[in-house]
Amino acid sequence: MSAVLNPVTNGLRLYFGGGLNEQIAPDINEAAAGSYNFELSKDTYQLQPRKPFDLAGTTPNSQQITGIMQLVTTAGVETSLVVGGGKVYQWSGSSTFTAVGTCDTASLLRDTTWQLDNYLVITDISKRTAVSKWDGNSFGTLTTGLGNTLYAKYAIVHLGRMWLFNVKAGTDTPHMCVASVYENPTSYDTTKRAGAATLSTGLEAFYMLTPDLRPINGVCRTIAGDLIISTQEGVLYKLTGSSGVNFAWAPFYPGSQALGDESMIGTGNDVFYMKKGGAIESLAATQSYGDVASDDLSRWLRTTTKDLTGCITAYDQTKQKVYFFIAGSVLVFFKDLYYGDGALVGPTGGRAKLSPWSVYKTQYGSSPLASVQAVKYMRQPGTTTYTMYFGDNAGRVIDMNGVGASGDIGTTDVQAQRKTRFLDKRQGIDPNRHTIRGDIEYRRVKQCAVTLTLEYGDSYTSSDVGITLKGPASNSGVGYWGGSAYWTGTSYWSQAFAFANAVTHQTFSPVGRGSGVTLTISSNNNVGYLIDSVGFS
Amino acid sequence: MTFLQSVSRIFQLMAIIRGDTDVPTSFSDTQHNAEIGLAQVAIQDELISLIARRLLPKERSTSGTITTVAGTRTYNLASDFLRFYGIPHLYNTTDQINIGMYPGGLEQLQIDDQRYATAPGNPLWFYDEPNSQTLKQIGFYLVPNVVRAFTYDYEASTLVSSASDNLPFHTNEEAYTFTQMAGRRFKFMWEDARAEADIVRILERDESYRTARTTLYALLKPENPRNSYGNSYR
Repeated sequence: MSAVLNPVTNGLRLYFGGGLNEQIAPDINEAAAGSYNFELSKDTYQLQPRKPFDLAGTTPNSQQITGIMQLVTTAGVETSLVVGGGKVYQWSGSSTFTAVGTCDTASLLRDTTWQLDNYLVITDISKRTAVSKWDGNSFGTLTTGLGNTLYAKYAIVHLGRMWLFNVKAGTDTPHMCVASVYENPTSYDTTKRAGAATLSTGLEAFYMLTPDLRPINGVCRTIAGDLIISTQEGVLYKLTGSSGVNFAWAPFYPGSQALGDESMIGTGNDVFYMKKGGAIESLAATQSYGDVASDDLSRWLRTTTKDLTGCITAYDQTKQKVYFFIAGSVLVFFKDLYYGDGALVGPTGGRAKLSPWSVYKTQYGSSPLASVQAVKYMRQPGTTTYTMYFGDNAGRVIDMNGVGASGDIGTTDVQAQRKTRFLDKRQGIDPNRHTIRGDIEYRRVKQCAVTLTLEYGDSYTSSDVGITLKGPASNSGVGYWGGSAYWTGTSYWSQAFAFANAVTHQTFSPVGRGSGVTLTISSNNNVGYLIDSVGFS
Repeated sequence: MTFLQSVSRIFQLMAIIRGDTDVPTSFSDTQHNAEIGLAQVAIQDELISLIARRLLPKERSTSGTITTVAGTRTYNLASDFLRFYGIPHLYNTTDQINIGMYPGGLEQLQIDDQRYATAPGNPLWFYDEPNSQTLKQIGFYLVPNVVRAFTYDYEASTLVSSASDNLPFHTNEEAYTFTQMAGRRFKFMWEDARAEADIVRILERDESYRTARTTLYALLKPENPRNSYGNSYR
């Protein structure tokens, strides 16, 4: 036989352990530019679409959501607030919203829990609503002891005090922070600067200024417990000292150049923020902090992050995801892929340092992601389960970890898409030499349709392959009380769900020819399907 | 067996149908787009080969008819006309006589009678009429000046094109064996997408193909009675 009769090369099998990489030649296990709405995990290499965005509730006035807050007292009593259109509502977690107060319509309210007395101290990123308080029953202005109304962008509890940053008390002083009297968040002083010259016991209230006199645009705490602040396109500073008499800001990372009002966040073991040009940075510190290393987390997303000027960053501790809300989409960083040994690259257990990113989008009407001004990781009201909520411009509070069977907002299919890099004979596939044949390996989760689109090089054509992934066998023959099923009989546990999650395959063969091919797997449904791999021969 | 069923059977023979893969339900199925296209070509090519050898009993059609019109020389043959069955002739049902093809055809007739295209009368002969139409035509000599009804037997096209077309075999045995042959052709066509190899040479050397073809011939060959009586002595 001539060699041409056995032209099939070694073949190629694609796994999906890596995330989105917009660079020109992503790894074969990564998703190429244009991919979105897929999940990642360090424990799997499967392709799975993101969960639907569930509509958790809609405020009575259906206005832009500008704040989502939650108080959980030491006794475990939880109350949740949603802010929209200048109204503050207490929220039940579903459709019940009770007005409890008002605020400026442009206010972006954020909460900090003062656990000692079980109330929230509420600040405003827009500095239009005075620093406020929610004790589980009433919403009102926080007592500050100052002659002028106090506004603040950020708050954090640190070393027994309430710290407020980027404040305004009469005159706007974005480069100033005030710290309350020790263990008393209702008493502040904007006349006494931290230091031995003005304070005697060190327990008094005081103020501090940023050394570079730039506006403060972020605050967080590191895993070691240090308080870090960022200045607008400036520097990261670390608080040094132990009391008011010796507190000072020491340079922590002089080259930070952080942008935005809410891009900076502590992620447990690291600090993330967005810097000038749109890059998302990670600040990984050594134990001694003497050697600070920074790295560009968004190097895989050069196109998407280019020239971004800000975002709302949120950290889902349960799922180890960091969300970066930008206009129209959410950049999702999977921490567990970035740290440790990296992503799984196949069933043999091998791992590689691949992109830890995905992008979430939605096709729902006027996209709920078009104008997100409030994001909150908190308990689902009435439960102890934590989830990530965001609010949209129509008063909707949306749960990102949805369980609905009808897609986003209960009405719209989740459209997922994952593209590969350009594949040719260097990867073991030569569509110019022989007809492509492939197989798709998947789990029997639920019947749904997926489309494989192959775009061929040179010929610039594409062809679609429609495949219906099958679900488990029908649950006919379910045992019931009084029926024929009985102990030691022929019926057994899960019998009715035969083949559920079983591995199975389907073959396919697309038309087309070219120097190479780019594969896109896409779907538009409400099924959390699992595709293990796609093979070509 | 339909054309689609034959394609599906090829897929089973080639292990394309495996795991959860379902057989295609139409030729528009995109899941096996390339393989469906190649399998169709393989079946049609094999069928044409059998048609050319006059091996398919379903080829014969007795429904050919022509009714002459006074002054009209040429007439269309049936739309599925491939060639005349047996010795080409037309039966004049009016006069109850057969007429045959003009010896030497149109080329000879043009020499024998330069008025062949206009000379009127009751047709005595017919000939293949080259033309640029989509249907094959014949011409009459003499050019009819009367209405006459002719019938003829012909080999009809048995090529399949639609998914629901039946393969031109009477039994599943024949159809399955034919599909086996087509499957071998499909295999080599698929493996040689550039058509660089000589597929005829490959098939002639392929034992599976040759065995299937021999089997099919044996199944198709009619069992006529002996053409002599008694025992043969020598």
